[in-house]
Amino acid sequence: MATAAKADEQTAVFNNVVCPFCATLCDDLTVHVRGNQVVKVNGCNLSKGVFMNAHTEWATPRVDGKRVDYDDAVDEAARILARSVNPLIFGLAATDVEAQKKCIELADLIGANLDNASSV
Amino acid sequence: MVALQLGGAPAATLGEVKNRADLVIFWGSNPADSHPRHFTRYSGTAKGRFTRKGRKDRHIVVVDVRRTPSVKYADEFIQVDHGCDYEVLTAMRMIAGGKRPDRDEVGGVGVDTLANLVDRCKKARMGVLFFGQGITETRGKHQNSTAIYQFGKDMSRYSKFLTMPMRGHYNVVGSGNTMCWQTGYPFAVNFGRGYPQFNPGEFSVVDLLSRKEPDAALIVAAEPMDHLPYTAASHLEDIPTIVLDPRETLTTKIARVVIPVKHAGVSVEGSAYRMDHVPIRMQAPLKSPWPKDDAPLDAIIRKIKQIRIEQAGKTDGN
Ligand code: SF4
Repeated sequence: MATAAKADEQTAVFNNVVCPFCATLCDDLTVHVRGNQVVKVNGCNLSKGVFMNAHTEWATPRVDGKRVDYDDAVDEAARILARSVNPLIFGLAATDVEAQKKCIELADLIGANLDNASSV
Repeated sequence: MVALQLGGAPAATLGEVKNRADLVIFWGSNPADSHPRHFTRYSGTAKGRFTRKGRKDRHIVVVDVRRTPSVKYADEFIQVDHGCDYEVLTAMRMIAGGKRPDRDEVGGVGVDTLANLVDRCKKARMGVLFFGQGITETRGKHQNSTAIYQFGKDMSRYSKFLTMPMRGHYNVVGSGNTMCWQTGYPFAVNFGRGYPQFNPGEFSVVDLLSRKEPDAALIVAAEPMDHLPYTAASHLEDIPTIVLDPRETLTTKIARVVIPVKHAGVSVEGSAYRMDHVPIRMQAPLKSPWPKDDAPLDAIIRKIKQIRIEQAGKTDGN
């Protein structure tokens, strides 16, 4: 019993969570989190996939397959883009509006092609 | 998107659909697999102000080239021959205009079936046609969507009738909206001349990569190695590609530089646009050790400016 109660104390419950998977953008999920892992979520199979696997396979900062410091990865990215004559910036569909604005600012600075999944 | 620019479309929120729609058509879209809760929350079983009996108050039609898992939730299934959506839509517009095609069948569908569907659309209190990749990514592409929007316009003369794309990625609508509001164009923009130019086919990702034009790429929150045709995506393996993503993907595997970031809607708050263009603020139930993607983007912008100043200094010195 004690363990169960303790486990419950450690579980944080988030209500009305928005599901960042498909463009239905359901805003009624209840997400149970323990130790920075989602242990329970309602919704559909796709939303379960997003939240239950969210703590797995995190990316790490890398250059040429080798683990590097975060700032070194950022510096290398900047060097590549500064050298490029015809860069492409693609994506944007699976992040928020604030990041999208930054992508546009960068595209403007380096004279890039900028596209999102609408064209595909 | 191009289709929308050509024709325009009446809009409404999914809330309106839930409260009013008594005719729902899914064309080239399989929500049972791709948008599983769309049906229960808005378009199928949802009970609303004028749809109190939920599912019973709606007639649901699935139009597709194959019997998808969504068909079992529908009242009617219309099977169209592969690649014939445009023909079928054109025949429907013709019927709506009071003319009958000079044959019994168009694109594998009986003309009587189409006439019935057109009649239902005209008589609907509110009809909604949701269309998916079966329309936008098959033969005809944006011409198919144009035909859908035009059919929707035709129907607006008789009933309240909407057409809405079933967008995939959760914030693909936001990416179009943000680009529109910042550059004037929704996608396929090029800044090479110092101002935004719009030209799908020239500046769209699949075309650019297939012609092997970009000499470097920055991929933000997308999976081109998985989602684009391989003939296009493979060019990313030949040029320096930078990827910003919370998780390892097929694209991080081939990238020259990988920059991990927080996951919007999972480990950081942020705004996204639902498929009906309603902006929604996302929560962040988890924590991530990495910064949010604006931070490395900002750092890259500052660093590039610094590199340029240094280069300008060197040229002056010579
Ligand atoms: S819960 Fe399912 S239907 Fe709703 S946004 Fe997430 S993936 Fe889409």
